[in-house]
This record gives sequence, structure tokens and C-alpha cells, in this order.
Amino acid sequence: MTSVADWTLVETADAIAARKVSSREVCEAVLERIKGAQPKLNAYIRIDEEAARTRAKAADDALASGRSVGPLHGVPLDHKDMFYRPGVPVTCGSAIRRDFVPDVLATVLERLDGAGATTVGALNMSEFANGPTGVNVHFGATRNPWNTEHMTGGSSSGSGTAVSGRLTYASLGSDTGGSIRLPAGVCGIYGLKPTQGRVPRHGAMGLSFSLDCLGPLARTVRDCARMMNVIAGPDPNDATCSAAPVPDYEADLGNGASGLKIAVATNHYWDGMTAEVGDLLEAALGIFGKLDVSIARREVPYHEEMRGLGSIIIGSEFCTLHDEWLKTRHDAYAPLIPARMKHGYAYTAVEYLKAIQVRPRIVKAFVDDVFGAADVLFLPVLRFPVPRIADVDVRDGERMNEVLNSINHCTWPINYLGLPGLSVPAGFTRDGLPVGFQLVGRPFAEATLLNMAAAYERETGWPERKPPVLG
Amino acid sequence: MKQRSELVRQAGISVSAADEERINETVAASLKALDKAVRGSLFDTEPQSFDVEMRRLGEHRR
Repeated sequence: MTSVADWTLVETADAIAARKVSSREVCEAVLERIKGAQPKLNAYIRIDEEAARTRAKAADDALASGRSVGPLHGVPLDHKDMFYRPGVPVTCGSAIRRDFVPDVLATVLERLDGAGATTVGALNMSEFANGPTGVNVHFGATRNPWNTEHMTGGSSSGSGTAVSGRLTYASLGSDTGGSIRLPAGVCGIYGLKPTQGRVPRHGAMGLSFSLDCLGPLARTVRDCARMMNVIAGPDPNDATCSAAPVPDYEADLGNGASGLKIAVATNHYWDGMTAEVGDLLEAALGIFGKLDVSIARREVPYHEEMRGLGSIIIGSEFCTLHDEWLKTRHDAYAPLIPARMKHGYAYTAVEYLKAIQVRPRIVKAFVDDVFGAADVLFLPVLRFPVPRIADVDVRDGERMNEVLNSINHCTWPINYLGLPGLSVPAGFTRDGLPVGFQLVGRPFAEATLLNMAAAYERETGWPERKPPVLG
Repeated sequence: MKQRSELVRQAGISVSAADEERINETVAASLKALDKAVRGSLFDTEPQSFDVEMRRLGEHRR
């Protein structure tokens, strides 16, 4: 029998607003689902059952009293444990902040609250959003709903597995080198890294202030669009947030993809592509072809620069934010974190600022070149099937850089450019593991990406497929 | 490159032999990319112009 927990975010929100189902019924269905799946997926760091029931009752009472309701009214949404709410502990996936209680409210949570969303708990994540595998030595590795021996990707690992495993309807993640797009692609759902500055970051844990982006992971394109409608837009508390007008992403979804142009990167991103993943990506391109989308294969510039300069920026900014703890609480980190990031101390101020200052030139050259003749750039998420956790749990061993860099090979460069990137399901391997691709667009072209993905989704129906972990 | 891992030590951060190898490898690759990326002078660049460029480039979105 279908549970309310199997509905999409939009179906659930619309059903609550139409009083076809209560927020309390939804809450109970989700809690039951979490109870069964948490031991297998390790998606949650914290579950607040009674608080969730109280919030659900308040949502039902508000609706019964005729108060106007927002587009997410009464829907429980759980997020990566790095968004601050006064009085509520937030761990950032770490031992260092295990007992931290913030006194500010993240703008994105304030906006979700305003739209009526509720919450059940906080989701697992890579320590300090650092790591593309979903392994966390403090809270345990998250597990993939399509095969629990396999990784979820990270760093928004709990978001990926909880949305895919239908424990929550959508989730906020953060993306500095792929941390939304990787777990989305690896868990068979959608994940949108918006344009740098599109979504405010006030009240969210920072990893690298020049590259961090916040965005949604969701089971359908429409769910993603509704989340973006709520969270995007200028914020007086975030000076880096763009004042560019925000379109109605959900209303634009029916525009269709006909006449649009895709550029497929043939170099770097395709290096070492495995046959099985490559075939699924080609099949996805075939679907776009049927939608009257033109496809041009070409080499794409600057990947070496984007990776190297991104590395200088992330390393320098991480070491700036973590300087005190790296010196005084070094052993409280998982060994992988300082081992991976301490190179940030090795750059001079001039080198760091050069990496920042040359960024507009590179993004302009990239956009003029790639998007002069295409609307969207098509890239893989991974070039190989989703690895087993045992094969990527490299700690700070000899294979650390090799393994981690191979996982974020296709996502990392895009953060340096600040461009929007949407991870889209491309189907499943013979072993039943999800494969994904990225659609990357011009600055602030999120609506184009969502619209293209919606047209593709209508042809595939991937969101209907249930992961085996649900039985 | 050896002096780069020395910079990390001088900052008060412990550096093992494995760290040293990783730091030197990562920094070498990053600085090679920086050399490739920065062609000519940055004298005429402006502060925080990335946001301005993004807005300009975004005006052409569909």
C-alpha cells in the first residue's frame, strides 16, 4: 500500500492545503518510515519525535483556523545539520561542534518557516561539509537506499539518502565542490547547486565563503522548483547575495526543451568513463534528442585552472575558518579533514588573491565560449558506478587524494565558476545503482536547467522507482 | 616545493611525512594552474568584480 511518505513534496503540500490529509497524518507516516529505515541508512543525527508532532498539530490548527498558508504548509523537511536555529543544537557533522547551540536563525530556515514547512530532525553529513563520500567517523557513514553497501556521496550525505529513501520530502544541502550534486546523483534524485549568490547563506555553516552555495535536494524537478521559489532571493543579512530578480521556477516548468542546445563536454569530464555509465549517459542524451534538443560534442576549456584555483581558495578559506581549532583541537577532527585541508596554509596571500581576482576573467571566457553556442552544458556526475563504502573509506591513507579527487572530478570545477548545476537521474546500472548527469547553465539560469530537466523527467519517470531499502 | 610544507609547520600545524608529500603535490598542481590562469597583469582588475561579471553574464539567460 502506498504511504503518504511516498508522495512528492508538491503532492503532499497541495494535499495538506486542500485538507485531504493532515500534517499530523503526514508526520506519523514519516516517523514510521524513519523508524524502519534509520538503522539501515543512518540518515539522521537527531530525531525529535515529540517536537515534530507538536509542530504538525500547530500546522493543522493554523489551517483549521483559516489562516493563510504557505506553499510548504505542514510538510516536514529535514536538512543537513549545518543550518542554525536559535536554541537548537547543530553539530556540523563534527565532534568539535557536537554541543553547539546557535543564537541566529539561518535565512533559508526562516524562509522555509514562513512557507509553513515543519521539521522532524537533523540529517547526517560529512564532517564540516568536507568530503565527497558520506563517511563520517563521528556519526557513522550514511548508506545508499539502492544498496546499503554503497556510498551516498557527500557532503550532503544525509540529505541524499533521506530524500531518496523517502524519509523526508526535500532537504537543504550545501555545495562547495559537489556536495549537493554528488549525493543527489549517487542516490538517484535531483540536486540543484544554484548560481553563487542566488540563495542567502546567513546562518549556515561556512566551508569556503567564496565557493559555498546552498540549495535543495528533492525527488522531482517540481519539488526542487518549489524549494527554490521559497529560498532564493536577496537577503539584507548576506551582502554576497545577489539582487537579481527571482523568477517563478515552478510556473516555468512547462516551457519544454524544444529548440534548446546542449553542449556535451568530451574532454576531462569523460576521461576514464566506464562503459556502463557512458551508455546510460548516451541514453539520456538520446532522450533529449527526441525532445528536439540539439546536441553538440566539444572540448570544454579551463578544467585544470578551475580545479587548481578552486583548491587554493577552498584550502585557504577553510584554514582561515578553522585556524584556531586546527591548532588547539587537531585530534578532535577525523584525521582526513586536516590531512586534506592543511595545504591551505602553504599559499601566500598574493597567490590566494590572484586566484580570486582572476575569477571574473575565467568565468567570462568560459561562458562566452561554452554558452555562446549552447544553452546548457552536459556533464557526468561520476564516471563510474557508485562505489562501495569499503572502497572509499580511505581515511587519511595513501589513496586519500586519488580516491576523493576521482569522486569530485566532474563537480569540483563548476564551483570555481559559480555557475548553477543541476544533478539529474539518468537511470540505473545492471546492479541497480543510480547514475546521474549534470546540467550546467549560465549565471542565474536555474529556470532553464529545471525546465530542461522537467521535460526529460516526463519521458523517464525515474522518480517513481522505489529504492529496495523500502521493501 | 619543500618550503611550502615548511610554511604549514611555521603556522603551528603538525606535518607528517605523508602530509608533506600531499601538501607538496597539491600545491604544485594548484600553482601550475595559477600560472596558466593568470596571463598578464591584474593591475586593471577591480575589487569584488566577480559578482558584477556574474550579473552581466546572467542578463543573457533564457
